[in-house]
Amino acid sequence: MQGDKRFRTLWISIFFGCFLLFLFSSSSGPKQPWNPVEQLIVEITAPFQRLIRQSIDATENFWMNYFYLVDVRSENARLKQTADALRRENNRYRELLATHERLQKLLQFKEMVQRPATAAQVIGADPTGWFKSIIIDKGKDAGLSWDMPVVNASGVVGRIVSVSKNYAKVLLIVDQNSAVDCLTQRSRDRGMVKGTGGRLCKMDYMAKSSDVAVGDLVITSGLGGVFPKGLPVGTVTEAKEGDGKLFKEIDIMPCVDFSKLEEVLVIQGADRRLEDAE
Amino acid sequence: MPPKAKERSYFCLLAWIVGAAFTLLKAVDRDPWGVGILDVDLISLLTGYLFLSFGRIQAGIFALGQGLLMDVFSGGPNGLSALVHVGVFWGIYLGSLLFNFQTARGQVMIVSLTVLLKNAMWQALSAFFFGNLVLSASILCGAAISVLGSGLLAPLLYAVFDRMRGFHAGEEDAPDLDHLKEPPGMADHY
Repeated sequence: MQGDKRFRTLWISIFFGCFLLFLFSSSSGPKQPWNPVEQLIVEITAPFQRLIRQSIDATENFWMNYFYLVDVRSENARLKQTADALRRENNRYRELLATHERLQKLLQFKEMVQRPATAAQVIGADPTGWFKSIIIDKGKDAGLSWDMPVVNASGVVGRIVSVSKNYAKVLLIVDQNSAVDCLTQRSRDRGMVKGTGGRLCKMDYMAKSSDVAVGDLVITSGLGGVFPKGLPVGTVTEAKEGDGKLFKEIDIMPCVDFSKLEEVLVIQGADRRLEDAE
Repeated sequence: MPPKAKERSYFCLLAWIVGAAFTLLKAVDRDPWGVGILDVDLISLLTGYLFLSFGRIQAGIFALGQGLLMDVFSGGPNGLSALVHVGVFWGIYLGSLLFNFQTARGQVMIVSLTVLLKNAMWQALSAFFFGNLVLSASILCGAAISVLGSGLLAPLLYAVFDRMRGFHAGEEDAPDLDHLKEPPGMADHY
């Protein structure tokens, strides 16, 4: 009896083995399309497969659109903060770059002046609005003293009229109290550039015979004892001869934009060219 | 020190600090109110309130002190700002003789006329010292707006100051306001 059982098991195994070999041998050739039986099996089982796939997708979408978004929201807020911080840092670097460029120009101007000079920042202006003066953040401790000339990379700014330990007041050349001895660069005619309290200056004591034209550059003459010679003051915007007047009426547009003053240079020490001449 | 005297001292100190801060702020930013054309003259307003509530001496010292402070930072001749601000004080004093400073209408008139006087003084002194009279349309327009703005703000600001000091409308506190008082029948409502 047991022998028959083992004999039956053996024959069933051999049969299935041969069946599998038959299947392998039949699929070894070129791929055959589904036969009708396979097609029937697929048609019955595929809808179930699709249902399972849709269930998995729906669950996944539900998770991604609701639960997972909590993290996305906080990540969004964090990224916005990072972007804001980077934007602020970018602005700071742009400002540093602009300051660097301004100071670079100031340094080049300082080297051209050939006199010791101190850079200073503008920290205030005239509170009344009726006069043109600025306050700078350097004073006696930095070696500044009364009547020292103040310039920037564009040209003459003014002169120091008051000084304390750490601060100084500078009278701008556009102030009504200001007067700078100048000459025109082209024709070398001398005159006095005076402030009017507005944007423009006027050049007084220019003889009617003087050769002054619109566009001429006006520079310091060096004879006033304050400003070194050759510093740009402004350009002539109008030159006319008044009827019955002794001198020409000349308007000067200053080289310096006083509405944008941030850093200035205070020129210290005696003029080396005058020392060399002696 | 009695509480009332203490409160007066604190308010005077606050007025000095605010006035000085306003002067320094104007030295940094010509448009401290950030509204462009409106240039409210806070110093004149504070001088007026000190005159109204504390008397002539307090107001006079305040005006002179603020003027001297402004002279330090100004590029003009020394003493010019102080002179103008003393003129502000005298403008308020003379105005108080013509109008009732304790009423809103009187406050508007006195402060407006004082600011107008201040602007006129600046122009006159500029013309006298420098031969430079600037009467452009923009300057006149700006001055007019400053005069009206400061004047119209006066009653509101003074009411705020009264509230800060714990006073209600109609109470009087200054020692020498006899010249401001009118017969009961002629007094306007606050």
